[in-house]
Amino acid sequence: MDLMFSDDLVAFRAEVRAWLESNRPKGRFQPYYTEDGLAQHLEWEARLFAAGYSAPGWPKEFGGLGLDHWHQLIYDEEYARLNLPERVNKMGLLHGGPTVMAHGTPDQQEAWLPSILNNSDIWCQGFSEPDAGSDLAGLRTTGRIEGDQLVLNGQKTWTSFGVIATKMFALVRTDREAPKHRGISFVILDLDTEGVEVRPLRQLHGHAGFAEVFLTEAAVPLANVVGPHNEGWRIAQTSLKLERGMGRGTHTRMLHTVDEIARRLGADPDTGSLERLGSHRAWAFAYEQATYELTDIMSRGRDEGALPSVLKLRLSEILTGIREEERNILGERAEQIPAGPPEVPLPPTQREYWHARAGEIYAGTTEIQKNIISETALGLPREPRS
Amino acid sequence: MRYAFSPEQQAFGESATDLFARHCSPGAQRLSWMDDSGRDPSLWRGVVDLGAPAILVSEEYDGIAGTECDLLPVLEEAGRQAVPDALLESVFVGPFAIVACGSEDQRRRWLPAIASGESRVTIALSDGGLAPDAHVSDLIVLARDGQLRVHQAGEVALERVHVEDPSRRLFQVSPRTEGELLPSSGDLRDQVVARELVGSAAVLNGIASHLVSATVAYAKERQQFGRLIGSFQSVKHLLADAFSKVELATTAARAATWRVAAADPEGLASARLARICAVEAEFVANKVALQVHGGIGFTFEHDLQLWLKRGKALEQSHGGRHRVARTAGLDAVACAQRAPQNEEDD
Ligand SMILES: Cc1cc2nc3c(=O)[nH]c(=O)nc-3n(C[C@H](O)[C@H](O)[C@H](O)COP(=O)(O)OP(=O)(O)OC[C@H]3O[C@@H](n4cnc5c(N)ncnc54)[C@H](O)[C@@H]3O)c2cc1C
Repeated sequence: MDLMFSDDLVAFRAEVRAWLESNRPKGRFQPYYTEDGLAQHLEWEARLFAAGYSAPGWPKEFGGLGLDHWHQLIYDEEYARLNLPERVNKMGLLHGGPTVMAHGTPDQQEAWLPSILNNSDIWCQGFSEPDAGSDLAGLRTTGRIEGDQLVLNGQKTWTSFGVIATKMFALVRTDREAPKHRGISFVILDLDTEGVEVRPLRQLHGHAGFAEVFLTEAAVPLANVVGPHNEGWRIAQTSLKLERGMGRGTHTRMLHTVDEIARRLGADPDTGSLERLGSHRAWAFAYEQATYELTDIMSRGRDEGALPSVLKLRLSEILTGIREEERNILGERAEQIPAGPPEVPLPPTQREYWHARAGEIYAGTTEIQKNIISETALGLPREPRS
Repeated sequence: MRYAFSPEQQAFGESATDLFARHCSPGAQRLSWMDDSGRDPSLWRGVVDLGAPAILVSEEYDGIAGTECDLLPVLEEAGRQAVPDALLESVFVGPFAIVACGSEDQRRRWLPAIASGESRVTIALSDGGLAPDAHVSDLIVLARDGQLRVHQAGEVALERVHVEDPSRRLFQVSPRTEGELLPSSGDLRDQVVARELVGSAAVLNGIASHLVSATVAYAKERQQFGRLIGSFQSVKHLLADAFSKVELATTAARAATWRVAAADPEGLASARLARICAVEAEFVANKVALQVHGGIGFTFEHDLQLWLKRGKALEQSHGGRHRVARTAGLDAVACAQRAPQNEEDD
């Protein structure tokens, strides 16, 4: 065992910290789905891009710095430490892009990847449908081959960043006769294609973070299919594992949240509150260390097994636990917000609380993670599959 | 960065696995319940042959000069096989207390004998605390007024305290002499406590890991309603939950041990956090294990009780569960006051 950051990483941290501290935007941005907010985010991300800090872990040929998993982790920690704005192209940077890197052709990589890094395209993930959530492979959106085109019909929903996205990576059914996991393809589509309609959806905490996306005879080039035709389920696993495992600074934000609630406790906290705080701090520490362990495994190219699901399950439960504790500390003030119309987005404390609750649903619910862990890590019998 | 054990550490752990399997099978432990001593001298000889008590002793005193991390695989395995002997005290915390807090003269007198296995040591860190395995120990380290004193076996009266777990041997120790003060034990007490916290966390993680794997094995073999009970989703989910907590707790204990060994200023605080995770993860594993075994798990004949009772004992041992959590809460408050606060926080 050796858990020391190398000199090289320590130096990189200092460099990133110095740059972020002197270049960080002042004040809080408007939400990305407003015109002003989007402009603020894009301006900030253009500065990151110019400095090479859009995605340090991406290969140089696609505009990254070609740095390894540990450098990326250090960068994410520093970004989170300063509580800097959420990246609008998260879906492309973290999930869609790396999937194309792993499975796309050189032409596809060249066509799509650089435009994610400089935000000339913003990506969203079109997996869920009204009737296919946990049972993702039950998806019904169809792709029909016509000449060199794939013609799409159906509906995607709960699409994060859908309102500002220009491209979607989607799963569509391309063989209705095949067993349900075998007849699916992974395809990239332009959202300005004719027959695509994006409707914003307001979320429970008032943010317009979702969209539903309707596809009616929307024709996309067949060349936009990533990986072999009808093997989209396998391709999607790359994206899902990344979404579950790597928190991208989540551990730093979690520890920061524990600090926040500790400060809220005031001068003379009661014993029960201190004990619960101690427990939350303990699990935040364990989650941080498990994130490092996953980074170690990935940088050695070893199989991460069920660890991404273990991390996703624990993350969402630890975080909701911490946010629930915050409400306990606030007591009757927990529900109070400034005056305004009902659909105005909730202020940060409440927004973060509800966002933590959503964490038990997105990227595969708690129940789905437990199914995966018990079947893959523990070898228990599989759920019945239709 | 490397989270995995080194090949040498792994090999050390595997030797311990074999040794424990030879000497501490549940059957062998049951036989030992009848006898007052309850200890198999050949197990201790095996532990000595492995070099375990010499790991933390420097070469100057005929030790191996290893690190705390080297002992982790042995402690985890001791939990996994419910080894009855107080190895945490006799190869880890006890030797360390003398290494760290003893005078030059004391070290010269005691450490070579500890390293060679000639002298077995146990320790109780809270005032008036109970010392496990005191009846087979040559040196007994006790806390008084915030300092540690070493007593020879002949200078103490032992009264056995009977406990739920029939394998455990716990004693109220009444010294008849002053004993010898470990001169630095007032200043360095935290370092000793940190070892006790991470070491007991490692043992607990081993216990919890066995509780989960034994229960998974049972769920793959027991049928009800014409199907394996492991196919019921509620059972799968209980096990997945326990497993995920034990995984994180194990990582936390390894990381905290590394920090403690590296004299990291956060070592003691991390050790408390690791101990909390270990206790909470084992608590869940304990609950799930009995529940999923059903009636058979509630019989005296079934071996599950070894781990169930040892786990419950160690949840409260070494200072109690609530005290550690409360102290960790105070650490967290202090840590938050030091942390830079973002202007954007409301
Ligand atoms: C904030 C947020 C952002 C999201 N962003 C995106 C996005 O960008 N792109 C996208 O494609 N999707 C996105 N989603 C959708 C998300 O992936 C789905 O909501 C999730 O997979 C659950 O599907 P569902 O909502 O249809 O619930 P359902 O699948 O209907 O589940 C309802 C309940 O039944 C339980 N359940 C279902 N099946 C089982 C089973 N086999 N065993 C046990 N319990 C079961 C579930 O755990 C859940 O508790 C987002 C969701 C949220 C909340």
